[in-house]
Amino acid sequence: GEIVMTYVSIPVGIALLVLNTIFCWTLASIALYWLHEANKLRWLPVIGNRYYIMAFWTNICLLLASYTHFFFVFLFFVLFWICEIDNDDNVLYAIGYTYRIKTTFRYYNTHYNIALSQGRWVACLNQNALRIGDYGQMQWFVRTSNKNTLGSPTWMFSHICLPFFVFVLILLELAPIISDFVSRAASIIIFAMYVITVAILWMKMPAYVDYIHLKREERTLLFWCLFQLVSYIVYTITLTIDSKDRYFPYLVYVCIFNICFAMFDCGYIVTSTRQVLVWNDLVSILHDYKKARRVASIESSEKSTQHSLSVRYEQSRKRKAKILLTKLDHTFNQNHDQVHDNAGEHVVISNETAAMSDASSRALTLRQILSQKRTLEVFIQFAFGEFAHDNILGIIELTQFKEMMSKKQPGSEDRPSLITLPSDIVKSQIVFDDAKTDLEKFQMLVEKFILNNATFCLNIPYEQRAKLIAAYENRQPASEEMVTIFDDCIIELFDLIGDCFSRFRTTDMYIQLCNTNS
Amino acid sequence: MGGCMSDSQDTTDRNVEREIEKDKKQDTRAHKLLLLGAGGSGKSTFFKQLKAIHGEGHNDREKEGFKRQIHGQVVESIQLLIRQCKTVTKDPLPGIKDEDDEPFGNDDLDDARLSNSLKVEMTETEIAQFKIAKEFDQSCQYLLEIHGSRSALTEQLVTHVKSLWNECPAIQAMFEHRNKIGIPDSSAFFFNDIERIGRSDYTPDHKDIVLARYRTTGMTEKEFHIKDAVFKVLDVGGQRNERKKWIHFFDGVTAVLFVVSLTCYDEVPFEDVTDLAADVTLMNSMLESIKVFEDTLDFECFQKTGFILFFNKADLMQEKIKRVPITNAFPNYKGPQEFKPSVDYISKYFLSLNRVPEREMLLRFFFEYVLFVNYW
Repeated sequence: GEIVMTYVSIPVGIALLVLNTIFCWTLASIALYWLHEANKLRWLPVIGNRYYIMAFWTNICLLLASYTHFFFVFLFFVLFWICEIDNDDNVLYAIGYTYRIKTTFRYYNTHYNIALSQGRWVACLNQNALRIGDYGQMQWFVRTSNKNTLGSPTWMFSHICLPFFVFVLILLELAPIISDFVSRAASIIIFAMYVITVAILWMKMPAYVDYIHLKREERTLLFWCLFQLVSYIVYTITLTIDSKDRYFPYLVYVCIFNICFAMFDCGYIVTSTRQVLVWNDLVSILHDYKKARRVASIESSEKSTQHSLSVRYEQSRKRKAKILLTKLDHTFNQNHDQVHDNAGEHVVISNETAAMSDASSRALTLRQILSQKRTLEVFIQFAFGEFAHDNILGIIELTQFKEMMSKKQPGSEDRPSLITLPSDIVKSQIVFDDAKTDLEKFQMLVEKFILNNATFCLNIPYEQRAKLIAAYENRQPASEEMVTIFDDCIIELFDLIGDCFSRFRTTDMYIQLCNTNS
Repeated sequence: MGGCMSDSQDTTDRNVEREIEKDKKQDTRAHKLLLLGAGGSGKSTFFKQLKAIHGEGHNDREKEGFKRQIHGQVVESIQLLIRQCKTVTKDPLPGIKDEDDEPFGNDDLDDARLSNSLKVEMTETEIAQFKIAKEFDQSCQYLLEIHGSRSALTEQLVTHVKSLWNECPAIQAMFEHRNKIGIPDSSAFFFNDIERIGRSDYTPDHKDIVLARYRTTGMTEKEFHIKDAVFKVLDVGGQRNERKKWIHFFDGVTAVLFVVSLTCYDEVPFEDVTDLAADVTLMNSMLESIKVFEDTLDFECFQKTGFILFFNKADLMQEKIKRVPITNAFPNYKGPQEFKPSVDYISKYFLSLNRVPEREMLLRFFFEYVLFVNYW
């Protein structure tokens, strides 16, 4: 009777299959469309910096798997009717595999860049700092030996990934000999391991240096992988419980879970294509460009397309930054006014204003930038690009000297410090050397920043320079003078860097810092 | 047959396309222009004008920055004027005489040197003109106590600055010597307009922005699209310490825009500003400019690079030449103390420094806010 049950509903079965296939192919086509769209913009840094090649081939594999898999499901059921088809575990395995490699490299590269930028300035303040502590750990990423092995995609592929991949593949191919369940369970375990590694790497990835929404993409992909993992586990359990097809025919199970797998395929591809475009505001640019092309009906080559798209991208990026910043400014001023205003207006605050005032609390001032380690580090990186880093180095080291001196001076502690520095920033080698006297420290600082042939000669007026050099030559400033001796200098540097900061405020880096600063 | 046709057409199309592409590439290749010059010569001013005319102009945020720079300039200038008056007349600085301003034992030394040189140069009556009257003591004290030149102009501050500038002859007298104490010419403009600048809703207009004096540190880079060409202009700082950084920008430069201030032949370079006793014939910004220009010309990588010499502040020069001869910087100049022959001499002098005859040298003159007036 049970077997009859399976065969009674042949027309229903066919209808189910057709609908299923149409559904899956529609999803796959949507994915294909976005893959194509994203491919047009692959040369943009926001796309190119995500290991696009790897993402592209993962997506192609998924797409092929989607199409052929559902196609064969359809074909086999129609032709051979009850032919047993296995959902392709190896596809699942391969996806997890590439996904993990991709994340590993992104993780590596993010840290590599941070380490590079730190390497440029940390040693200016303290040559030993790069060997110990947080800065020392970062140096692992820039070591040539690591850069050429674990940091190099080619090396990783040829030495670790490929052998391992082949090994696991053989294992998975041999597993069905023991039992289907073992094979599926092995797939799940391996895939789960990948997802966990990715999750850990994702959590450790610093968001404040992520200007292209990498972390966001990772998170959504992680969600889809978890979704796939869960549905595959359910699928395996169902098939194990109902291995004799007692409740439903096998066909029904396959159809139901095919929908899940198709959703995963589509979700995964669309996330790494369309969502990435949306997050970076590229969809509207593509749309505008297409519209303009239709109006002008120009047959253009790929290069001119690239050119005009990149111009559009630049323009929109600038516009976006401008809008956001004026918004931040606006609410910043508004908040200031509101302190004096009565609360009457608060009643009519719309959602938008609420969101904006939320944003305004995140608009960072120069003082705030200097007071946190990570913001300060990003700013130094920018200042390096403008060759204005000597000013910040001066601020850091001279302020540390001032703080050091004022600690020794019981009376001066209640004086407000000019600039607050993060406590975990690199400690100056000169200031924190206990073997040196205060005078020696002062002299070394003057030699480093003030003298006319100094390495980091600062752009300060003659008056201040002469004053400091005179003190340097006379070797007689008393320790109570040491506290305030560099004050004018620090203020001057703070003023000088303001110009650089005003340009920093228009960068993606600044916006990202404001967004992640809470 | 049809297929054949379309094939050959495709090839021609592609060839034409390639040609167009190539031309376009050549046309739109960015020209890297490097703005160089001694401190205070007007590189950033030039940059600001470029931005106003060929760029997208200055947005509100940048204007906010300029507003702060202008306020800073006003406070800094008035502080300098007061301090110099006090030093010359040996009037103790009110309120904060001991601790903050003279923390070192070497002040006696400074004073001695100062008074020695002053005695030679100035008589008692001359010194007396810098004496700030007692009635301004409160204003002086208030202004000198402001720390950090970035503070916004308050109403009180505006009143003090205004009364000192308009009613105190000593400040005016000291301002006449601004060339020696490093006060920019444009400060007078801002002092005169202090009420407008001090208003809370003040936004700097084009003239204010161009006149604002601010020391650039490091390098700023901006692309300008002028007709079909792309110019990438690099603005740098001009003080001595900033010049050490220049070497980093020299790669692939199409042309150097060397800016020289025409009025700087009696101005003490920013890095040397001390007090009124400074001898402008020994060290002035023009000599500094010449030195910087010679050094720049000597760089190996610039042997084939074109130079465009911009003579800046021609309008101020027309005024200054009536009072001061250019012999401060050019002792060999024997011509009349007039604008045209003096400028001719200066430009010829600069051109003569070029020892590579095949190098292209262009001359341009411009005025503070009248743009690109071709003098020739």
